[in-house]
Order: sequence, then structure tokens, then C-alpha cells
Amino acid sequence: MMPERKEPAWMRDLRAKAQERFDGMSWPTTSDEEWRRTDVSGLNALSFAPAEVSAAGNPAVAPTEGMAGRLSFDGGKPAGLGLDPALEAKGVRLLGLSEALEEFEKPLNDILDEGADAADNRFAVWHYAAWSHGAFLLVPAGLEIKEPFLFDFMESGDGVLSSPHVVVILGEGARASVIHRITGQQAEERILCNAGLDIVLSDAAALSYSEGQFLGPQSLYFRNARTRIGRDSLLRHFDASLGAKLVKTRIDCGLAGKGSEAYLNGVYYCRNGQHMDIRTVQRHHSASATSRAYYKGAVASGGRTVFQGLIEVDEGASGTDAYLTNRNLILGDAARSDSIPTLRIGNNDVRCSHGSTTGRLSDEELFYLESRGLSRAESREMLVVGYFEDLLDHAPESYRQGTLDVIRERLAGAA
Amino acid sequence: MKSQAPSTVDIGEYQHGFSFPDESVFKTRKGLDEEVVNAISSHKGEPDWMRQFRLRSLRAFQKKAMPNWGADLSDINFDDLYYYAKPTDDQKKSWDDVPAYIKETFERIGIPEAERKFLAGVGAQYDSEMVYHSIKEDLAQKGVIFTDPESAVRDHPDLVKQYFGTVIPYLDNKFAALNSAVWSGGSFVYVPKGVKVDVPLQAYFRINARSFGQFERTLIIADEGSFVHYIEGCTAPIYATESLHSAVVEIIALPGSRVRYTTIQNWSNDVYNLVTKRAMAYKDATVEWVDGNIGSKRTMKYPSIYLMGEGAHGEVLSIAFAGKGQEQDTGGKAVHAASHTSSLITAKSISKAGGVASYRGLLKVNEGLHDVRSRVVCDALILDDQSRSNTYPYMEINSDNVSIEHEARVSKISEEQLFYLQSRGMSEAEASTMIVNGFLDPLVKQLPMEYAVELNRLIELEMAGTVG
Amino acid sequence: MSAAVTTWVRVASEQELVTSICVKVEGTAIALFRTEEGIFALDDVCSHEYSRLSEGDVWAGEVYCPKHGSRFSLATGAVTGLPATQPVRRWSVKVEDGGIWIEWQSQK
Repeated sequence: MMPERKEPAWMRDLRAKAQERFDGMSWPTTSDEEWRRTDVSGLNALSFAPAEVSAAGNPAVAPTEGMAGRLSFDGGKPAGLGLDPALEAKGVRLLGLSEALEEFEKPLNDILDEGADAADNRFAVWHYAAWSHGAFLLVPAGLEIKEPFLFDFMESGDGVLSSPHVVVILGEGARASVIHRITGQQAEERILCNAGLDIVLSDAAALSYSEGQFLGPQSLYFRNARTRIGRDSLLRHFDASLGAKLVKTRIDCGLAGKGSEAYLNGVYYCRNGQHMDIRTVQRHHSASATSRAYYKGAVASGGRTVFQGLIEVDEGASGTDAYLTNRNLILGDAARSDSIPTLRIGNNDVRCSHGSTTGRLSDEELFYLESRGLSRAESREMLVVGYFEDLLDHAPESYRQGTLDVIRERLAGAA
Repeated sequence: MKSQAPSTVDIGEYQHGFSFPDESVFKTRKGLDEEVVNAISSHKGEPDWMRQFRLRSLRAFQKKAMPNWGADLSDINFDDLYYYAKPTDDQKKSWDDVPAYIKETFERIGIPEAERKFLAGVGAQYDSEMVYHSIKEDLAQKGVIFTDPESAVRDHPDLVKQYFGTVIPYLDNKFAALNSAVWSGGSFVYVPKGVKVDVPLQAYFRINARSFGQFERTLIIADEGSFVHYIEGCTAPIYATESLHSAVVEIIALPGSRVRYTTIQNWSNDVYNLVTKRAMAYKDATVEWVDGNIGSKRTMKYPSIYLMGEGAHGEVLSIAFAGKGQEQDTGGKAVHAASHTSSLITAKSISKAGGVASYRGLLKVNEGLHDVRSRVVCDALILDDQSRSNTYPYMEINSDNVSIEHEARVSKISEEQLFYLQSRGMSEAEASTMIVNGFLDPLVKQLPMEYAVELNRLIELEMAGTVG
Repeated sequence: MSAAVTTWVRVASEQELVTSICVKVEGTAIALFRTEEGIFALDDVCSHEYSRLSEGDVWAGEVYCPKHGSRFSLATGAVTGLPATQPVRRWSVKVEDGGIWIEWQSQK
């Protein structure tokens, strides 16, 4: 049942504990608040089989120009690892997660244990029992790296269960950026990708993390992201949900240090037959932290999106400045969009707001563009791209362009 | 408190028939089952169809689970409550029994002497006959029916059968089922076509009305083109003897009509107040809920409007004040089931001294609609660091030609504003009170003037911490 | 627009349906009801909040959703009582060879 892996005892124990929990749980149902609008009862998740575990290490590959490092997987098998030698000399560590287990037992045991304990639904628990491959990035204190790291996860294999996990740790005062792409090789393949992400920022660290999910239209994507942010540190997270038939993701951002800032930005474009259920959580544990969640989606005819956002402020978190915005653009009839931004505030010395709007493209704007000679399709594209653009302003250029390009493609193909 | 009741109901004194007996002592025993429901129905002399409705509702109540969301209701012991008690002169409390803080509040708010005893449930019923004689004549002339639901069942069975339980079916939720089984008292209002009732109708000015019941059932039918403003409750704190209150209010606004329903709730702080209120607004009709929640230990109430016809408009204006030991779980719902409809929900809340104020709301737009506009604005003030505020809005949009906006803000009193007012000579307490009143002003303005005045005074009292 | 193909699909035996049951065709849950007026088939999922109509009481040609009391006409699927405001789909039914058949329109 479980693939044979050569792993340290602590990891085997962690998996076993998670497996035991998994066996005793049932799949989430629509009676569970967070799953009310996403019915997974017909999924038959256990029919997906994990890919073979590859014992071979990563074939070394020279990093692309302009990048700090690169880590690729193809169907869960290592497909290339490269790190700028100058950075390696300064203490940067970039490894496949499996390779990092021995050397980095201390931080990883802590991080993954905490994640496994916090897992509150069968899919998340499954991930900890069955994670198959992943990336580990450590940037030592004080090191500032301008060029981005690229994690390229190409998923393949029909009926495959892929459970990748990424851990990024930044030491005090470190700065880095990561672009993480998840793509499906073949459109017809049905892949169940059950992913996890852990971001740990020490004091005064700054990380920009840009994820893009481009799985094929028959695949299923579950993703749980957790972040631990220290004093005066900064996280900019970008999340583009464009592929897969079913998307159920959550990013849980804990602000545990004074002066910390987290910016969670997301775009989602949902076509006919897709169902996207996205959740963001901003948790203010410490005083004087700032967080912003800004998610914009577009849903075409026959698509269904659900956005659930939560800002939670603990009693001691005075001076909190938190904002949550969700905008939904409806591109056709027979589209469904649910938006549930919530606030749970336990301290009064705060500034917390949320806003949500839902509507369609403005008739006046469309008319104006058409009267300037653009076709209906060109006008729509211009307005839709314009709608998403501001959100991607601070994202790495290549990520931004790539995301907007895919959105253009989707629009053009939309009925 | 109450004398030990016999194990079976003593119904030897009541009279069958058409009058609503005033003289007999009648109270069911504690707890709720078929026997109790049958006794209630018999005592009211109801036709069989209403009795059957009550019994079906009882079964639904017994089967349904408690809600697994909302305010904390774990303390309610259903078996330890009385579900029906017809008050009579024999049973009245004495003025001495009324808690001091209530008497003081009457004084501070400025409730007229004559009303105080009535509101406290003490002494003779407030005799509204003389004061409101002319109003009632006017209503009768116009064909407006304003009576209690028991009389409506007896005198207007067709109207009741047509509408009763259609807006809120007995299966809707556990507390609607409870009310449907044991309802007693409340109002029945019917306004004929084209009639505009200029004076607000208020429950306690009806003759033969008990003031504030546990399980009031109100049904308002506004026929085409009519207008009525109904007011429930009042700012004075109501000293309740039973701790569970579960009312049901159904409103049917037929095409072109307008109904405004204003509630100021200030139950004493041991009361669980769980209310289901819903309106259906047909073509070109407007329904406005103005909902003020100041009292009670726990309130769960979400006035709703179903916009069923084109041109319908719905508004919910909600104020909630959660003080020490209180949980106000309130909000509003708008369900758009027709094109060319609009809704506006404005909710303002204040939490203080450990109180918890939560907004819970739903905005739903059905499929295949166009030109639907809605705006929801929630503003919460948390006055100190022990108190909490939660916001749980749900937006479910299934059409594209819509414009939906929702915003919510949570903050404390602005330091700049406080500083400014204090620099003008106010104490911090005075300044805070002024700011809080200012915060609530847009909603308070919508209340009839005497209520607005009373409410402002009440807020002052709450802010000073001398009440409750 | 693809051509809609309708076929009769046998979903249950006559004995299986006493008052109401839920059957599935191509993943769609359908509620079957037996009343004095005949046998009816509606979408099992209430249009209000996803409860199961096959578990509701039937009264005078209407089914009452057990969760919140929404009412639907068995004959047409039209909504006849709040809190639902949208109809549910209705299926044609026939009884043949001891079995209950639904006129099914393939979604594929």
C-alpha cells in the first residue's frame, strides 16, 4: 500500500501517525462548514495510486540565466537541480525534500509535525502520510538574493496521486523570491495533486512566493499552505488558480511577530466545468502586525467559484491592521460565485475591514472600447486583463506575464 | 417562584368557545409534549386544523437538532420551562418585586408613569382604550384588521389558512417549530388594498393584549398598494419571568405595498431570544426591517426578505449593543428570486465590557436573473479589549447581471475624535457616549421620534455602565 | 447544441419503492415517491440547501424538505413553499415489467 522509502525514523513515525489518523477519519462532507460548497463524495480519491518512488537523486542541471536556483520534478521524479555556486558557497541550501530529511531533521521535524497536527480534514492528513516529493530551500541569515528560485513541478500519469511538499526557510534578515509552477503535462490525464507548503520567516526576513497552478482540466488539486512569520518580516504570496477540474486550497498565515506584514494575493479564473474553492486565513497572534488578502476571480458560464476568507485577531493583538478584499467578475450566465469573507475580532485596538464585490464587465466600458474600433472579444480581453493586472503589480515579471497570458488564452477559448 | 403544578393540566376552569377567557387561572405544567400542546389548543378553543398544525410542529421540534452555529445555547433546559401561562390578576407580581435597575431605567429613559407598571407586568393592564379610541375607529372604518392571532384564527380563518406558516414553515428551524407548536399572543394585521395606515401600529396598545409573550406569533398581510408601519417592543427593559423567548414574524407584502417593521428589543439579561422573522416582497413591494437589539442574554435573529417579484426592494437596518455577559448574534438576509430587485442591509454593532456582537447574513441571487443590486455594510465598534466582534457574511451569486457590494469594518472609537471632544471640555465618558450615539445615528434616525429619544438615553445608560 | 438523447432507464423494482427512495443515475441523485396519485420522480437535492427530498414527508401532492420545510410539487417540481425559491427538476416515470423507469436525458 505505502511505497517503500528510505527515510529517517522520525519521518517514518510522522507518516505512521498520520496514516493512523487518516484510517480513522472519513472524507469531509457538505455538513462541514469549510466543505459546504464543495462536494467531494463522488471523488473516489482512494482510486488514485501514488507514483513510483524514485531512489535516484536529482540529475544536476545548470541553472537558467538570471535565476538563483532551480528544482524540477517530472511526474514526481527528480528532473533537475541547479544552484548558483556562489550562493551555495554562502550557505544557501536547495534540495529535494527527501534529501533534506537527514541534514535538516531539526527544523523539518518541528515544521511538519506542527502541520500534521493542525491538519483538520482527511485530505490534509493524507498529505502528511503520503507526501511523495518536494523542495527544500534554506536561505541563511543576512543573505539577500535578488534573482528568483524556480520550482518546476510537472505532473503526469493518468490516475496518479501526487503529493508534493515545499518547505522554505529564511534566516534573520534574509531576502529571497520563489516562483513555483505546477503544470499538467497531458490535458486528458486525471491527476490528484494533494500539495502542501510551509513558509517560515525569521525576524526581518522577506520572501516573495508566487505559485501558479496549471493542471489539466481533468485533474484535482488540493493544497494546504502554512506560514509562520516572525517580527518585522514580510511575506508577499501570489496564487494563480487556473487549471484543474476541482480546486480546494487554503493558505493559513500566522502573524506571530510584531511589525510583521503579510500580503496574500490571488487570482482565479474558472471556466465551464471547473469548481474552485479557495480559502485564505489571516491570523493575528501578535500585536502591531499588518495583513492584506486581495483575491480577484473571474468565472465564466458553467463555472463555480467559492471564496472563503477569514481574519482572526487574538485578544492580545492590539494595533492590528488587517484587510480582506474579494472581487468576483462574472463572465456569463450560469456562472456561480460565492463569497464569504469573515471577521473574528477579539481586540478593539485594531483596524480590520473586509470588502467583497460581485458583478460583470461594465456595459459602458465595453461600449466605449468597441466604439474605438476594438472587437467585442478584444474589448473583453482588455477589460478582463486590466481587472487582474493591478493585483499582480508586485509579482515577478515572468510570473505576471505568464499568468496573464494564460488568462488571455482562457478568455479566447471561452464560449 | 411558581407553586408546584399538578402532574396533569388543570383545565377545569376554562370555557370552550369564542371568548378568550380572562378570569380563569390556567397554566400548563413544565416541559413540552403532546398533552401540553393539546391543552394549549383546547384552552384557546381552536379549530382542529390549527391543533393539527401545532401537533405536527411539535413533532418537528422534537426531531430537529439544535443549531451548531450562532450564539451559545447550551444552557437551555427545555424540560424545565413553562410553555404557556395565561396571566391574570391573581398572578400579578407586585411593583416591589420589580428589580431596581429596571425602575431606575424607566426613570432615566423617561417612560411615562402610567406605562411603567404595565411594562413591568405589574397591576392592571394598560388601558389603551381611551387614548387610542379614535385610532381604532379609523382603522376599523378602513377595513384594517389589527387583532391578536387567536382572534384571527377564529374570525378570519380563510386569511389565516392562506398565509399562516407559508413564509416560515414549521420545519424551518428548531425554534420556528417550537413557536409553531406553542405560539400564543402576538399580532395579526391585514391592510386592505390601497389603504395607507399613517399611525404606526403597536402591539401593546391593542386591547386584551398581553404585553410581551414568550412565543408571540405575528402575521402581517399588506394587500396591494397598501402601507403599514408596525412597531414591536420598546426601549424599556422588560422583566421576563421565563427565560426562553422564541417569536415568529411573517410578513406578506403583496404587489405595490410597503411594510416597515420596527423592533426595539430590550429583554432582561437572563433571556434567550431566538426569533425567526421573514418577509415576502412581491412585485414593486418594499419591506423594511428596523431591528434594535439591546437586551437579552443571547439573541439570534436575522430578519429576512425574499424578493419574489420584479421591482421589489428590501432593507434591513440593524443595531446591536452587546454589553457584559451578552451575545448579540444578528444580521439580515436578502434572497433575490426575481430580476430588477434591490436590497440594502446596514448593520451597526457595539460591544462593550466583554460582550460579543456578531453579524450573520446571507445575500443570495438566484440563477437566470438580471439587474439585481445589493449592498451590505457592517460597522462594528469594540469599546474595550475584553469585547469581541465577529462578521460572517455569505454571498451566493448565481447570475451575472448583478452588482453586489459588501463591506465590513471593525474598529474602536477613534482617538482623534475622542481627543477633539475632550479638548472641548467633555469627559472621556461623555465623549465616548457622544461618539457612540453618532455612530448609531443613521439608524436611530429611522425610528419614530419617541423611540429615538428613548434609545439615545438608553445608550447613555449602557455607556455609563449603570444598567445591568 | 448537442442533440439530447433520452432513454428509459430502469432505476428500481416496484417493491423497492414503498413511500420514497433515492436512486442514482450517472451520479445524479433522484428521489422517487409513491402516492395515491401515482409515482413521481424529482431531483433528490433540495434547491434551497442541498438536503434530501427523498427523506421528506409527502402531503397533498407536495414533498416537504425535512431540513427547512421547502415544498415542491411532485407533479411538476415547481417550488410551492419557502424557503426554497427555485424549482427542482422533474423526471417522467413509467412502471413496466415490475420495474420503475425514468426518462433519462444523458448529460454527456
